[in-house]
Amino acid sequence: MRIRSTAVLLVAFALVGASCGSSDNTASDDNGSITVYSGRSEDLIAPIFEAFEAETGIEINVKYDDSANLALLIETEGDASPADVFISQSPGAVGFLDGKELLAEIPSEITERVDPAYRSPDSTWVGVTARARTLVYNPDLIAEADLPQSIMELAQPEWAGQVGIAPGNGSFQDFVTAFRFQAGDDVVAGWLGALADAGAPTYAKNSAIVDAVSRGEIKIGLVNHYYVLGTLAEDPDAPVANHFFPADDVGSLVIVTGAAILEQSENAANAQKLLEFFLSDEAQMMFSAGEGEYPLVDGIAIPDGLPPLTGLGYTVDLAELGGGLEATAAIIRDSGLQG
Amino acid sequence: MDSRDRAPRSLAVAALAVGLFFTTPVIYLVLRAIDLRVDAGSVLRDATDGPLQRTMLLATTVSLGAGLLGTTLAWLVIRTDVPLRKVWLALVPLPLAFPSFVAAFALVAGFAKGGLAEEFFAWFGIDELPSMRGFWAAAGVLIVFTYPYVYLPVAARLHSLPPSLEEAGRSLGLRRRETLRRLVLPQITTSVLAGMLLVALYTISEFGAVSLLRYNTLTVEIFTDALLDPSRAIGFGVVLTLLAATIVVAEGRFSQRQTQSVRHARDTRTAARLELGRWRWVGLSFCVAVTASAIGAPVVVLAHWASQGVVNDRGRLDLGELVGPAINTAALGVSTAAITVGAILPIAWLWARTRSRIGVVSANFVIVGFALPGLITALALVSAVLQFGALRWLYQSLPMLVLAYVLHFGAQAARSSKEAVGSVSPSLGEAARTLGAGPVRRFVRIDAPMMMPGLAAAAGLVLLSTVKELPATLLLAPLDFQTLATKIWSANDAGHLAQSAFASLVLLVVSGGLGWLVRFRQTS
Repeated sequence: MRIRSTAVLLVAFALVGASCGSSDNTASDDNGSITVYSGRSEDLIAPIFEAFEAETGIEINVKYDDSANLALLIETEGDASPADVFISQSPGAVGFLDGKELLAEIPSEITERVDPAYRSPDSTWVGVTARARTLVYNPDLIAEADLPQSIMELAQPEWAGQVGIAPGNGSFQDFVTAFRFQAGDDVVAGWLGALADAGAPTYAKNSAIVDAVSRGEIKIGLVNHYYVLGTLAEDPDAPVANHFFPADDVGSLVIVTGAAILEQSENAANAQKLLEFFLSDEAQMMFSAGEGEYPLVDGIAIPDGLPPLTGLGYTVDLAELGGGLEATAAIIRDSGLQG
Repeated sequence: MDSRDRAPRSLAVAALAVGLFFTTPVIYLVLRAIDLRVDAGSVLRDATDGPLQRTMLLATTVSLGAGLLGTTLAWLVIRTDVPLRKVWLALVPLPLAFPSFVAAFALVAGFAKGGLAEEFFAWFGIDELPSMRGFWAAAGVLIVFTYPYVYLPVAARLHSLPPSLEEAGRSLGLRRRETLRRLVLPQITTSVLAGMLLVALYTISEFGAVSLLRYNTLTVEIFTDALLDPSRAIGFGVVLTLLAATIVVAEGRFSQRQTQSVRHARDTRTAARLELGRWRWVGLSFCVAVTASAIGAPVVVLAHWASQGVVNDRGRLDLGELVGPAINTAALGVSTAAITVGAILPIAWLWARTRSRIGVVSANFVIVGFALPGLITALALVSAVLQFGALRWLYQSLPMLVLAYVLHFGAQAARSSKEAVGSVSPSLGEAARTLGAGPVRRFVRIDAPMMMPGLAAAAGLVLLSTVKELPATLLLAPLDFQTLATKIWSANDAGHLAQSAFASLVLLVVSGGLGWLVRFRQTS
């Protein structure tokens, strides 16, 4: 027993040593390589990184995690952060770093590729792709003609207890922040409270809502458009579809996946090249074809079956929004939706 | 040197150093709270508005449930002739190998309307399934996935009790039930409590499963607020630490009063196994029911997803890309287990053998660390390492990741290591000393071999937790470094259920195999 355990340990140390060595090689290769913290998951974005590496010869080292966790990590690392580029699925997370003055200004030649509605006013981050907030519905249970035409209708009694919500999800929180900006805190608090009182079922994340709708547990739910596309890609017969609210309704809010360059980056030149690449026609087509997200550069075909991107952009200026993000957290919490 | 009162200086210094390391997250929380000017009054008001009570209710329920389940299983498998014993020895500890978010995700999907469970139970004419959300869902799932924390130490303890215990009972004219209650139970009480303590702390720190099952504990609130409302999140982190410290100290006081007088026996006879008679089938059904819900149900759902992926393969399934992460996972798990036990040993030694306060206090810090969410432990370590220029080389290296695991999972090694040290009678060392053996020789020849089973138990628990760890791994691993858990998360996050399910099944096989090597064989 002892001899065998010792052997196992030795093998393990050898293996760790080996992987240590190999990862050191890539990290210490200072040949202009850049470090990316990506809130966009590997399965979705790795092909784009590979294309960039192949094209430019600039190596990319990546850390993947939830956008909010990465933003906290960058804040904690401060000046010592090894990150050059941050890719955030949520404007909230990148806005958080902007507020801490940890982001560098991006040259206007890069940001101008994108409509001002989809980038930060002070050029600290730029939208790369976008997703629309939608209402997922089960076509076997409800006809599209019967679906609500505005986000406000969801608070009415006829939808009581039927709207799936993910109150802890970053995209939902972004939606609430934008909603506050558009309609004011009282309206939003009343709307959330009405949903909570009516017993709206809550979920941990968007994909869980789409699954629940697909199984017929609920008829409708508030999600991002591409979760429906992802479910349909896995199972083309799944009874789920996207319903888009009218363009001027906050229910069709457009949430961008944003990219930013960190203030302390020592390799801003190559970091800019990566952002440029993200907004190149080639990468925009890859994003659109592979992920079902909306490209943000004019002239790139949008994914099949989606209406054009017309909804409101997330251009919330946090400085103008009373109470900032803390107030968003408090309004969601006080509505009783999470309990 | 081996006096029961005074600690050898080098050992005390080592224990103090390790103990100080374990204060990192607490110091971080306090400094952050000061930095953010956290208002204690409003944090306390918010916490006692529900999250604290829910956390305490869940922790109490889960630790009681897991205590009962784990102890019953340990007794059945170790001390009775329940049919298929060998099978249960292998299967019963395995639920610990599932990442909780995978298990919960699989169970939520499986038990949902139109899910696999509905089809299954419809055969038996059951149409209404309990909803997989809220308190009872969270408690049920956590009990089923944490009972091994109780089962493992209790099984080891029952295994080490000499048959002479039951023989003594018989010669005193006690009935079997009385022997169990009056002689055996008191001998395992501290092991049961130690296991329940780990379960309670784990429950407090748990995020993945509890949030999927929609029960809002302090930890779920911390994750929700971490970015939007940092001062509330940090404040809740402090409340959580205080709660954990209270539980640890209370358990310590209580278990100190229990006597565990029978030392680890070198009695080589096989312990007498109680003949269950007609009750054999009840025992068997119990084992079947537990393993079917804890292992069978999630595995069936995962296998279903995986097979769906094979049927509608869209070029997303790639088993080859799991080989590297599987090797990384195994290597990290085994090295973390060994390093953790090595780091904890000085503390365990002082704690078991001396009255030194360093031992007890350090041990308490080690144990409290387990209750903190992985996100906080990881950020605390980042902050500490970057604070000191001399430590920067460690940043985003594998040694730093291992340090984070040690910090997070040291608690699991603490009690078993203490018991391992305690199982060696100091009089043996005295005897060896009078024969002229030096301290090193005494340790190698006498102490180490006798402590081996207990230390292996400690290592086994740490190993199983490490291989499935996610939040700290994501934040602290070297760039581009992947484990099975990060692979599972990444595929799941992108909605690629089949790939995620494959990676989960590979993780189950890897941890089952490693667990068998390091730990479980010894009770067979």
